[in-house]
Amino acid sequence: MNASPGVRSNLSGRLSGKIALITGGGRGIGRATAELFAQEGAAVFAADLEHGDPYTSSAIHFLVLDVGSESNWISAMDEVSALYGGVDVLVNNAGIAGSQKAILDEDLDSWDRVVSVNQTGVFLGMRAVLPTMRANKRGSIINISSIWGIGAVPIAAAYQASKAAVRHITKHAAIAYGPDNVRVNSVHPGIVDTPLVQAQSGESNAQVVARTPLGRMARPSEIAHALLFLASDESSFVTGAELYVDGGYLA
Amino acid sequence: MVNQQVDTVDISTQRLLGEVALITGASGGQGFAEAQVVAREGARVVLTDVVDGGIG
Repeated sequence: MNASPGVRSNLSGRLSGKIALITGGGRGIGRATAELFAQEGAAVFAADLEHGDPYTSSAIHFLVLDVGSESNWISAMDEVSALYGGVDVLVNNAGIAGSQKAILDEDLDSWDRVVSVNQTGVFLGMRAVLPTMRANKRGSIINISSIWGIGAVPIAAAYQASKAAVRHITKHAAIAYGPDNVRVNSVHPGIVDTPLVQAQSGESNAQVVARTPLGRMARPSEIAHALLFLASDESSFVTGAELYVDGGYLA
Repeated sequence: MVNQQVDTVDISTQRLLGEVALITGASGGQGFAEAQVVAREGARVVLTDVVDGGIG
């Protein structure tokens, strides 16, 4: 992990004894989160479409998972069950930007793919872990939305619609499963230095940075630390919340 | 259940080592609980209040 000024990198066991599953765990925010959660004592399943670079920690198991496929989720949960009883923490992080076009320029296949990964993927992920979390009477689900799940811009209609849906189903799930002591929160990153953002136009990224009070992109580890709080028992009374980690963009 | 969770989080991880914190309304209740957590994490803590409720 790249320790940044003010961000601790020593072990403290804030997730010791927990089993975490992180989708989109191969790159970007998901990879940083897998590494941080493992450092903090969790056993981690990092799921993605394909293997990335090897992980630093041997506590991270890689799973192949297309989050939009229910049969993929069933196989993934079988793999988890073979090693552990179930997961205590789910981070629905997998996401794609799509064509980044406005409604009239969008094509339906591209729209469907974005909805499948960003929106249906979150729904299926929660369906996969909720039965065990309800039975155990504990669990923390963190759904990654976006600043574009709150405010709109004139591009990326599918991405924005899917991220707004993530925000709302998070609140639905928090209300529906709160009585089972399952907590569900959404996190809304601003612009983060990840492969997804690097693939976008430099000009539009520069515009977002210019509107960000902290005046820079986040490092993936800065998002991971916010997720660590929500994953740990430190946030035991936090549910249905939306946490902006955006450098002040939405302020 | 609640106590177990608090116990888990009671472990000091020195996340505020070298920081100085000022907490208002800290002589009791929520403010005092905040001061305890912040101090446990290694910060030096200044507690203020309009009443001197005594500390601890």
